[in-house]
Amino acid sequence: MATAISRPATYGLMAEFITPQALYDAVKAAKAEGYEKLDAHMPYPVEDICHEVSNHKRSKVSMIVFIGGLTGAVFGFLFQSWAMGALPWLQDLTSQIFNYQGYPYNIGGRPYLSWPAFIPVTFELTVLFGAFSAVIGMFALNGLPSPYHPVFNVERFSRHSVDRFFLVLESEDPKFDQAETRSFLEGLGPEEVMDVDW
Amino acid sequence: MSEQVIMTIDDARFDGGDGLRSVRQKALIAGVIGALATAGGYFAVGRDVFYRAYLIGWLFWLGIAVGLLSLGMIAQVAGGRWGIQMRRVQEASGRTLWFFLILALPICFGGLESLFSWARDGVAASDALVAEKTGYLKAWFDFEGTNPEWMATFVPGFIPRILIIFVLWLLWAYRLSALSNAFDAAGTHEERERARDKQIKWCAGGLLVFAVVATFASIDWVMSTDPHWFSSLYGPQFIIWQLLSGVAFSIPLMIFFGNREPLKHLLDPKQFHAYGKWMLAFTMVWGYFNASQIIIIWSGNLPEEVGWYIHRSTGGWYWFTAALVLFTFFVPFVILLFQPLKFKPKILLRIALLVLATRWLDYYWNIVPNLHPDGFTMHVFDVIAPIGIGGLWIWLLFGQVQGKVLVPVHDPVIQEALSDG
Repeated sequence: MATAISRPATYGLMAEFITPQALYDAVKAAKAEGYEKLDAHMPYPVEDICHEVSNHKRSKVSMIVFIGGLTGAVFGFLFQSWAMGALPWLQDLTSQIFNYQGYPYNIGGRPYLSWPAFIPVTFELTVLFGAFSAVIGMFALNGLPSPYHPVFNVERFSRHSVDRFFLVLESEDPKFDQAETRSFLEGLGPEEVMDVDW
Repeated sequence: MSEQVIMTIDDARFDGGDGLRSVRQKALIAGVIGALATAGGYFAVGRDVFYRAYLIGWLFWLGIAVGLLSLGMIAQVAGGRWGIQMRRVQEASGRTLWFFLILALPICFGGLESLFSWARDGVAASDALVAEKTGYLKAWFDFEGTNPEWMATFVPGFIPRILIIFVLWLLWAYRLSALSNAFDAAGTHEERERARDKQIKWCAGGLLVFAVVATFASIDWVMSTDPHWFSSLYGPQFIIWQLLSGVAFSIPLMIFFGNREPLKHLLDPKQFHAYGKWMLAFTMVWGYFNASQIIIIWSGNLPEEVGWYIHRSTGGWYWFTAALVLFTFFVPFVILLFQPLKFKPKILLRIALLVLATRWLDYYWNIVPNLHPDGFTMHVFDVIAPIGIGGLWIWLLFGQVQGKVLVPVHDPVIQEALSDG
């Protein structure tokens, strides 16, 4: 209710450019002006623009993958050790919680903590958990899938996947002001500046 | 984009100046003192310690030299901007390989019985496994045919095999240098293209030859210190030891040449990043090969194979093994995972020095437990011998780059890099 009342009139303002260089300059100018909530749309990835929009911050996905992979390694190794009944503290823990224990199995007289034999499964689970963290982390951070997005309400925006470059300044930005922001964008020399309806 | 740097063949020559002279001087002093101490050590510490320290020092620096040359060949075949900058320096390292052939003489004509039990009198007569292998494990030839296998007669022994291995290495080393000179001397575009084409073909063939050669080298010089044991992964492991040594040694070289003309403008953080990635990749391959080897031997559990690991997990060798795995694999692996660190030459240099130290530990771990299965042993002399060999070799290597053209200025990749500034 409250959000519905205080919601700005539009999603934001969109400026259309013909060249990636113009978009790059526009992003830099908007950043310099103090706009934080902005996005750039282009038919192909332009590295410099992506870096500029994300404030030169590296994606957090690699850290998520690292933690996921590490979790997989620890889980894989401990699970095998538990199944072989090789770690007494783990046996005590699971018998208290689940009333379950591992089953010590003598394989050719090798020790129960037969770590060389555990390496392949540990490695595979590292890769599996790492891969899942990469996919899930990627979706969690980039907000996809997104069935509805206001930018598609602008008819000319369909050319963002063909030959045009767009800058969107969002109305949620504290610096955003319908008239002032529009004149700022027009000063950047775009083809056209458009309102983005909700 | 900065302005285009125009470079001619004469600009590309490495003058070196005081920096080079000072490095060569220090290396020569360390080398001469180390070599004298090594020679004196023969009488002070006894044959057995002397020869094992000498063999490990020889393998360590030989691994760096061959590794550098192989990396240069990979860079030429693979193409791209990551590696071509250092190729002439890596070729220079190939022209020092004759030094290691000379250093092999004491091993062949003095140390054979100390290092290799199969070479001792009477061992073959009392040891059935060694007796079966005399067709391969012999010093010279076996024209009398004492081994019943007919092939044994035609297989050359340890000493002729060293000669064959080094002839092949040296052939490629000098051939590649000659082709580089021909490339620089070529006047027209067509001539250059022909020279480059020839170079790429020699590099591609050379990588295959080097792989086969490394297999024999690994069996002869490292694996046969325990004549009972065998692992078919040893050849690939030996290649990785050499490539890892070459990559790690490239980093201090890149820092040295990156501060001086003519490579100053060509070595940027991207090249360091590329070498950091190689170091990570080879570290992982090292871990992969060693893990595969122990998984297979552990699963098979055969008496003639497990002894090798039992020697390394008992009697004080256990802690050595644990330290080796920690510092050769886990520490560099985790550090090199972080991308920003690979762009920083100073951090990479520290990791490279760690990797080089673990190369020495790895040779030690592969050889000495075979000679002393009862318990851990190490001597101050084990460190002195590599210093002597290394000092002399670095003096030779920097002599080989003096006054040489270090940048293939006509190479299209280099021209592209120069125009980007």
